[in-house]
Amino acid sequence: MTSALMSGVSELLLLNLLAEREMYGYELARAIRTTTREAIAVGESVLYPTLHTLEQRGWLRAKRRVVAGRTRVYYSVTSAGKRRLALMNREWRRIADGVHAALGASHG
Amino acid sequence: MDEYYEQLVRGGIAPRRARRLLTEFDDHRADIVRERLELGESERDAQAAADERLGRVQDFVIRNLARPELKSFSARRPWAAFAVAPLLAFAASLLAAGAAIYFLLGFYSHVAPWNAASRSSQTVAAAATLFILWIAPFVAAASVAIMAVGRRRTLIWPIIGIALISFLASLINFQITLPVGYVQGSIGGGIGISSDPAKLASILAFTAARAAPVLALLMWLHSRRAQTAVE
Repeated sequence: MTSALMSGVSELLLLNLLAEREMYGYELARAIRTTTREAIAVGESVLYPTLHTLEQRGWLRAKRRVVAGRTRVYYSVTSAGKRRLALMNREWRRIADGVHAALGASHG
Repeated sequence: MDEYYEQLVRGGIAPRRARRLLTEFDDHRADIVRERLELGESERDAQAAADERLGRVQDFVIRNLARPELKSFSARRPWAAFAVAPLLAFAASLLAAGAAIYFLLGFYSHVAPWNAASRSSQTVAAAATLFILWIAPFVAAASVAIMAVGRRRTLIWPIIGIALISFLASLINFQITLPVGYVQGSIGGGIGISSDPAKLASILAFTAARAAPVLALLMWLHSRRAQTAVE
């Protein structure tokens, strides 16, 4: 898979997971592994540059919170991020349908 | 982590973001180690697992530096951050300070004697003038110096910014005339430049007088920072 496509996938996954509830980095890495049944491994050190980029673009909001004596940076999706997620979801479905159709045609 | 912080900030990432990135990396690593220890692994294996999953800090730094969108405004547009914006902010703050002094003196004249014969009136008027003409420009220019050194930027744009603030401050006329007898006092302010060589020379001399201590501060902060980085 090309890195550009993977970058789009990780962006989609992060926005999708954070739209459900706010999470901190380690929690997100675990959630990605669990929800994708380990099919997709977003490199854990790539996670933070991606989260900061999404925050910089205004799609995520970061908030420090003290939990069990430790300060964590929790990320949540902004309203601009929700719009971006809706757009990416539509795009992703369009591409996935196209790929399914092409695979179906070549196997059928 | 200091070394990596230096690399991130020198690479154009804002100090606050750089600190946060490194803290998040560190916390994430600690979480992986804890998770593996809870699974019954030895400390050594847990550390190795964390290294494998997260990679080296150096690679993490490189990954962040490879993203231009993470670079701060001052790294992307140093001319705006260290010259244009401070100059505009200084001009705006002068207007605000002038208005504040006008209202504060109005209040002061109701609670204390306010005339040319009063020692306290003379002190207040002198302090307000000193603030507008010398302290405010020094604070504005020094902020540019501190910000530039904190962000590890090259010195050219901060020097230009400091010179512009000092020049603007030297063009300002500000005076408070205290009331004498029945003659009312006044507060006057303006900005102007003269084509008269003597006045122009005086403006430049005042510009140099205002800029010199701040440039000295900039150089001192810069050399101290460089020394710290070497150590």
